[in-house]
Amino acid sequence: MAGRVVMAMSVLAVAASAGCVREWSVPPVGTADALCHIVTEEESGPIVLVVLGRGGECNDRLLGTRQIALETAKNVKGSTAIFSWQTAEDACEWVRREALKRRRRGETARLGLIGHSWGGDVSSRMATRFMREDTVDEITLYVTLDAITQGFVKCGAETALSMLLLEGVLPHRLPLMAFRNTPAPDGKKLKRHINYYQVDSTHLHGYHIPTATENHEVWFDRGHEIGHGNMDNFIIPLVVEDMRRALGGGGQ
Amino acid sequence: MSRAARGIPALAAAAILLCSGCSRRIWYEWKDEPYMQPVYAGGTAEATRYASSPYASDRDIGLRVLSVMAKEARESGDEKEARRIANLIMERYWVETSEHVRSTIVAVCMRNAGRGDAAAEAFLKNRLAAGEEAVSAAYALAALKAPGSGPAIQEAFSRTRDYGRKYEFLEALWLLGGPPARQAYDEALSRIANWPRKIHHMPKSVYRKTMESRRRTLGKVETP
Repeated sequence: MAGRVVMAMSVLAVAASAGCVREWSVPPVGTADALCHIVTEEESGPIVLVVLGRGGECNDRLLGTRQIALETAKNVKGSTAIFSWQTAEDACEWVRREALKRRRRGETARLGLIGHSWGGDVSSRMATRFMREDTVDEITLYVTLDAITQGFVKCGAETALSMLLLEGVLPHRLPLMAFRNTPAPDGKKLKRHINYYQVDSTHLHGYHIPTATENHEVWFDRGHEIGHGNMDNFIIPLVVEDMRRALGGGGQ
Repeated sequence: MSRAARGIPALAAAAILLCSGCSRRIWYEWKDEPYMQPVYAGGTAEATRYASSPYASDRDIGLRVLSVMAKEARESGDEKEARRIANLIMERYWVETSEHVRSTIVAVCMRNAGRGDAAAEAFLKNRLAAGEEAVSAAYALAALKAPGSGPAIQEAFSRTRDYGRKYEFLEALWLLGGPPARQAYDEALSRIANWPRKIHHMPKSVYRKTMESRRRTLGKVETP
């Protein structure tokens, strides 16, 4: 009797687990939907992954972050994709598959990783995971654009001190609000980290990231800032050039 | 803590939220593209209407949407329409009262609308030479890879006494690459001791590290 119960429970457990396994459901290469757009896929060359923030959709032709992905694909010969922060698991799976293709050919799997806004937080967790799980051989370049902690509650809690107490007295002078959960470059697994940020746009994490190789405060004439949602539009050429110089030329 | 004292943080929080809600801009920045989409869907007429709005934020949106339309027109081979929109954007610059929108026109709109357009490149070079939205003009020229941009930006870099602008001109030169960029970076780094304690909000240790890293990546894969 006990044996039958154990067997029945095992069957149930297997069935439940199977139901929980997420299916690989990204659109084919070159087809964009709101959550994902694999721009190019090659058998070799660097892999570039762009992670969008909260309001962004991968098929929005006005979106600066999407333009970064499209322009990078033109300038770097390899595989390039853009995923929403909501499809982080699919993005990790895509990187794993692309890296595997390269390793089977005896090539080094190199990754260029870009994250904007909430995508900055999600991509920093991805970078940590890729290094821990040895998904890629190296993250050649990691770029964050106005990185913000994902989630309204978490982000609000982290920045409450700044918003309620100090920001009025010491505007934009709060290093304690810096985005600190990004992995530090070690020169081997994570080569470089370039951080583009603004101090006025959100008052959230607007400060340099102490561990980044390069910190760029994005600045207009007379100290104006372009705004959190539009900063990615302004710095498209800079980010594309960062990727091109780090990963090598070529492209479509 | 007395009841009244406990109420103060709550009142402060409510006041801040109330004030934030009254400022259109705080939400605007978070929902940039979603605000642009309906204007884009409305076509050139709707974008032109936005570009003439009494609200600076609407003009900003309208002009950026127009610049995307110019870019797409050029990509689809409609050079005439692209130039028409580029001219319209340049005309708006002269009557624009918001400094922020003028910067957007020079830094973002002209870069989208001005590729391969000699009039747009001349417009940007004039802004750079006149010191009007010069940083934005330098970035746009570098992004467009306009002929003669390198020496023009290098000249602006040497001319200005404002280190914040010097730093930005260096960035534009880095984007462009080539000998003017290497020369300017070497000059700046050799005199870094004279540079100020802070540029924008960045301490010297931060911006120096960034400049050194930029210099190292100059010369890598410079020809597309």
